[in-house]
Amino acid sequence: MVDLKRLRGLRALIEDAVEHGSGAIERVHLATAARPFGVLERIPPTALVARGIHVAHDAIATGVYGTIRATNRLVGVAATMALDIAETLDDDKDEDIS
Amino acid sequence: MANKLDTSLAILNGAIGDYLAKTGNGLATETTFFAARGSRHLDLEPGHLAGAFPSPSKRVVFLVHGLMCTESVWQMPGGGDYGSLLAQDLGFCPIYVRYNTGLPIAQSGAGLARALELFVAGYPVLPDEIVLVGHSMGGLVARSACHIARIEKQRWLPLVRRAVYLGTPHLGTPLERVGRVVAKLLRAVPDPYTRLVADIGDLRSAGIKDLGEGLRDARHPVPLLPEIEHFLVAASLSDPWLATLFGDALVPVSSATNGGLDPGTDTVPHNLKIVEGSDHMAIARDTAVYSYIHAWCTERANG
Repeated sequence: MVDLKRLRGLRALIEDAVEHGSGAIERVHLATAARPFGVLERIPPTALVARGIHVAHDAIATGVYGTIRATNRLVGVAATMALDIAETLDDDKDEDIS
Repeated sequence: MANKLDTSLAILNGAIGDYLAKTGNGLATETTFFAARGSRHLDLEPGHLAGAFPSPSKRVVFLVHGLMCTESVWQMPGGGDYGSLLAQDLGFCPIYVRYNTGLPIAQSGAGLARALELFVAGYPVLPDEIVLVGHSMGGLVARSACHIARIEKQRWLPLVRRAVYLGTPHLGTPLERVGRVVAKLLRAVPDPYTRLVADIGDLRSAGIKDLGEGLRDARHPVPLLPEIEHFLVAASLSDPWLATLFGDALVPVSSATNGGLDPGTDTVPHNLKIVEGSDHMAIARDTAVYSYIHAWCTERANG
C-alpha cells in the first residue's frame, strides 16, 4: 500500500533540497563571479564596462535561479494536488469496502 | 527485520532527522516500540497493549539502537538477537525501540521516557524488572530518558533494575569534535567554495552533533542514576595502535567505559567488559557480548 504521508514527506524534502540547494549554488556563483569583475572594476579603462556587465550578469543569474525555485514550487503544488486526489480516491475506496 | 525503506529512512533521519521533525515532514521517524523485529509497531494507547501480550512476562528488556540504525542492528549472524535470546533463556519480554536518531539526545530521551510511561500503563501486568540495553547513541538516549523520568517522577523508572550500554560514547566521540573543528576552519576561509563545504558539513543533525560531547553538556547534565546497576561494554579494534586511537573505530574505550578504567591497573571492574578485536557495530550482535548480558541478568534473577 502506498504510504501517502511518506510520499508527501518525500515531496517536501525534494522541494526543500532544490530550494536551499539552488540558493547555496547561487551564492557561490555570484561570489565567484564577483572576483574577476572586482579586478576589472578597479582598472579605470575597463571599470565602467565591467560594472555594467557585472550588474547584467548578476541580474540574469538571479533570474535563472529564481525561475528554478519558482518552477520547483509550482511542481511542488502540482505534486501536492496529485497526492490530495490520490488520498481522496483511497478514502472513497475504503468507504466502498466498508 | 526492518526492510530497505526503513533502513533508508533510518539513515535519512540520522542525517537530518531534526530538520524533518521541525518541518513536520512525514519522513520523520516517531518513537515506536516493536514486540519483535519485523512486526507491526505496538499501539501504546490505553487498552491496545493487552491484546499484543496474551501471556505477559514480568521481566521486560528494551533494546535501543544507535545512530542511523533500526532494530535490525541487533540481528545476529545466527538469526537471533539479544532480545529473543533473553526471552528464550530468561523469560524476558523483548521490546525493540525505534526513534528519530537525528533529534537532540535530550529530545529522543524525552520521547523514550513518554513511550515507556505509556507502555507501563498499558502493559497487562506491572513488570517486576525492566532492563535497558542501549547500543551507541541508544545508551545515551536511555540515560537521558531515565534522567527525565526521575525529574517527572514517572512510574517506570523505579522498575528499571539495570542498564547495559554497548559502545556508548558517555564522554563523547572525538570524530564528531574533529568534524566540528574542520567545519569551523573551513568557514574561516574567505572562499565561497570552502564555505559551501562547511555549510554542507553543518547540515548534520543535532543528534550527531550531540555525540561530540556525550552527556557532559552543561545544558543536559545526566548522571548515571545510583539506583540502577550500570553495565558497560566497549569494543577495541584488533590493532593495538588503532585501538588506542579509535577504540572500536568510532568510540574510544575510555568514553565507552565512562572513564571507569583505572590506567594504573589491569583490573577491570565487574560492570565493565572490553571486547578485544571487535568493532562498534559488531558488539550489537556478538555472542560474547550476549554472554555478558546474560550473566548480568542472571545475577538479578538469582539475587
